[in-house]
Amino acid sequence: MVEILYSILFVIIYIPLIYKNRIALLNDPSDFTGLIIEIIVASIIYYTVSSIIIESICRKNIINDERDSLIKLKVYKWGYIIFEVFLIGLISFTIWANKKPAFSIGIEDLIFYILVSVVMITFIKSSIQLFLYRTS
Amino acid sequence: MSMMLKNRVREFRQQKNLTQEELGNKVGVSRQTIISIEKYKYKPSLELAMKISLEIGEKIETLFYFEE
Repeated sequence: MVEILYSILFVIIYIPLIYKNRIALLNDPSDFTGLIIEIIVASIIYYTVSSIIIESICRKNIINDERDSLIKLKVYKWGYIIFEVFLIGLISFTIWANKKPAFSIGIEDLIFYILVSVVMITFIKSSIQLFLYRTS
Repeated sequence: MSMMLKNRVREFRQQKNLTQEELGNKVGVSRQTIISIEKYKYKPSLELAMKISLEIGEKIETLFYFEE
């Protein structure tokens, strides 16, 4: 749940910012340093606050058992499959775009695509995990 | 012929007056895992099944059985 919320917040807050500044990433990466630091600091604060909240809600020890391990394994398998789909999508799109000069894509677009893919994979992976915890 | 692994964990747990949480704590798993086992959603490992049968005090074949 924490990861799902994080992915949504990341898409809402940072993806538009990164998309707007993606060309600066290649031309002058130092412009991007501030944004990257901001993302790292915000992530640390977010995960610290959420773990404190979870700890205070579930005061008893959280037990990690064999079912948790099995669900994690299933989720990583799904994450890998989704990653492959995104990778094939990226390769296909790059090949297609290179054949059509009107749709040519730069490295900044590729980096942006990879970043969005990572966020999407995290979101889908966490949703599958939540679904498996509810149903299996 | 497909057979489904079922169990009588709930029945024997209630006979022993154990809550799902208590049984979970005794065998080292969460309450959610016990709930999943009792609802036949999760098939426990042999180790966990044996721990549950030891804790409940019933033979493993009495606790877990196949049904067509």
